[in-house]
Amino acid sequence: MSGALEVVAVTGPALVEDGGRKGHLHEGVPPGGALVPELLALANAPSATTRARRGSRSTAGCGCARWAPR
Amino acid sequence: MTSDDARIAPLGDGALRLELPSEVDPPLLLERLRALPGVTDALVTEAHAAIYFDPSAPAAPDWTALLDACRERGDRRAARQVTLRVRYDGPDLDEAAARLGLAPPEVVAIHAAGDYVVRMIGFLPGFAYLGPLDARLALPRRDTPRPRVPAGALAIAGRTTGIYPFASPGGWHLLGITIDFVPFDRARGAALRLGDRVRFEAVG
Repeated sequence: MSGALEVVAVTGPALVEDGGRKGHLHEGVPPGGALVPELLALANAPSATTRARRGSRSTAGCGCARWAPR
Repeated sequence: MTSDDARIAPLGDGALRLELPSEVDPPLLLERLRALPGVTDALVTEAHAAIYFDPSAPAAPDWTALLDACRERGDRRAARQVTLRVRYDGPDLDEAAARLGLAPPEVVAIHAAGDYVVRMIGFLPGFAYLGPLDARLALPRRDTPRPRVPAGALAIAGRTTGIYPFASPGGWHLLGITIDFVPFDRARGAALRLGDRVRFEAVG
């Protein structure tokens, strides 16, 4: 899936985070992703319910970003 | 050490660190570990393996039996053979040769004559640690790492040689640059795999 992540608001230290890329460490690719996946899911929950139709995707930290799939 | 002596230690709450017996076949072990139920990822090096799993469902196979099943066997499939073309004109060639007491062409000849095995992948996506490097070329890392090593650079350090897959900082001695080789591609992943046999061909 391709698209663009647009940061629309930041009110303090913020970190754009995703679910990571698990399963490729044997190729030298660190899994990355949220330290606590459950909290990332929780942080994304409001946007998932209110902005899902716009394809939004929130971030961890004090900010908000919008995911616009192409 | 035999499989019976295998030592296992926790690596956080979602991984285990397994000390490997010397006779284990790394590619086979990696294949078996990644196929275990609940295992999300695995990493095999020369002496250890790290096994990652969902903390709520830790993998708990019979490790001794698994290691025994991964002992090196003469009948296993042949390792993949890869030949890479290299232009040996790296910025450290002359200095490395001087420190080694060799002429630059001798360094090139010794390096290109090696038959290397991918012993580990890490540091960067697709960075393969290749060994053994001939003892005559063994050098410690540079005193001062470079802030930027170009992608595709062929380098040596200790008894290991490798290719930088991306432009990155690096402290190894740069002997040359690979030609027409993409160590890592987003679609197909790492070009070299654990256990691959690699040779280098010097080109002008």
